[in-house]
Amino acid sequence: MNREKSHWTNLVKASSARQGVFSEEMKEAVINQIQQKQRGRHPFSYIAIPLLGLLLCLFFLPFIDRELAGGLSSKTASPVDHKIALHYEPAKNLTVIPESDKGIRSATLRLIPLSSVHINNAVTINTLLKYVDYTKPGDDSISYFGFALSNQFNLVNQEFYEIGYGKMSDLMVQESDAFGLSSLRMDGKCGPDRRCVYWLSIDQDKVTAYEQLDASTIYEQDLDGDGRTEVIVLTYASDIYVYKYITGQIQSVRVQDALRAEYGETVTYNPQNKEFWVTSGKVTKRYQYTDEEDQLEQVN
Amino acid sequence: MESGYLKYIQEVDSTELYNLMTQYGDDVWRYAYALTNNYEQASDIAQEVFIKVHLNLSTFRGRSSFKTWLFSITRNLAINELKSNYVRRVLLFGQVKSLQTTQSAEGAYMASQAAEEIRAIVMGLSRKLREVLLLQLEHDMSIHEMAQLLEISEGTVKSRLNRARKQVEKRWRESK
Repeated sequence: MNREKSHWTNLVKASSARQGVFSEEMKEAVINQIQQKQRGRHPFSYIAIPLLGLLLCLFFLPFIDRELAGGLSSKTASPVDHKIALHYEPAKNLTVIPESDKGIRSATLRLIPLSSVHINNAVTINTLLKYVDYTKPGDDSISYFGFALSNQFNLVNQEFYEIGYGKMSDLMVQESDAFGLSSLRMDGKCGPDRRCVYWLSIDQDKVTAYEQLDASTIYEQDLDGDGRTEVIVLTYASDIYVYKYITGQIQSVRVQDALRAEYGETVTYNPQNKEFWVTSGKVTKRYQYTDEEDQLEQVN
Repeated sequence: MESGYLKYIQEVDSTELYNLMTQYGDDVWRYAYALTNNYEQASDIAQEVFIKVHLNLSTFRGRSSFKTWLFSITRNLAINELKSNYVRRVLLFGQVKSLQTTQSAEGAYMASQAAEEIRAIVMGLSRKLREVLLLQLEHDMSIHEMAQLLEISEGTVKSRLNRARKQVEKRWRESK
């Protein structure tokens, strides 16, 4: 026994010694990240900021003089100030997705035979879909999850669609036509203070899942009146994202960024009026989608 | 490189950080991998550890070894990562495929079939058991150091080690 024990422990030690994978690229990445952060605190900014302030004063002084001379009692913002362009972006193609990335990503799902897995949990929801989470032979420490569609519930050779690692709870499933692609929407708790959502596009021979990993509140509305539904999502941290189908992809924009909301300003979405509100103290500005492409316009 | 001096300094420059990464980077990666069993997550976490070292070196008091301190940062990051991801980020089928490809590359890297098998058995243990086993076998940590790192009693460390070894031995015998 002792010889056997020393044999396998030596094998573990020997196998670990060959692993060493903190590569030169990783070291460089760490140093680059730190240097980028340090540039934000570079002493040059102590010169640049006052200089910039001086330039701004010189630029705006004529306007201020004109206002004082004209004796205007209220500001009239130019029409351009009331319209804000929304710069949508597609989700980046990443292997490991950072926490700050709220893009929607898609994948065609594959069918898995029920007999090939060990089911831990199966829940039928609204007669639309049966959620399953399971483990696979050889590793019962890793949970996977997926679902079966209603027409698959009672098949003899049962199969279901695999989504991937993890599991979900507190599930809600409903019909959905989000992005003009979706058939069903499944959302649920997928971690502490986290809800994930999957829009499922179901065709005759394939199912595509569109995944978003932080959707505390979801609204599906046609914001721009083109007949295709957009999705407005509030994340757990109260960021607001608009997702839209653009040139074959689901692209997104963070509304706080688009409206240039500053510290202390709160951005909310009013689904009744389809308005985005920016509140600072007692003042609220309201914005709606314009008839022109991908712009918000102030309405008050 | 002696690292005891680190408790006396407030921050490291790029050169020193590079040297620390050279000295400890592989160990940090291996520990992160032992916890997450995921190649990409381990790489992510290992890099994050050294960014935190740069930011928080002033909090290193020298009460434990520098390596133990690094490992405690690694552990906190890995546990947070595991907790915040019921649904892991490498979720969709296409990306699951790439993860399997990476694991095959690791298998090919190992010299012997036996090492590969035993590695799989160890990584198949629950996280708590494989963590103590690999801390002992890969990083030569003492019971006391592990108890300090994991914030559990030495008795619990010994108990987990005992269970881990028994499970490995049992599965190793069954695989022959």
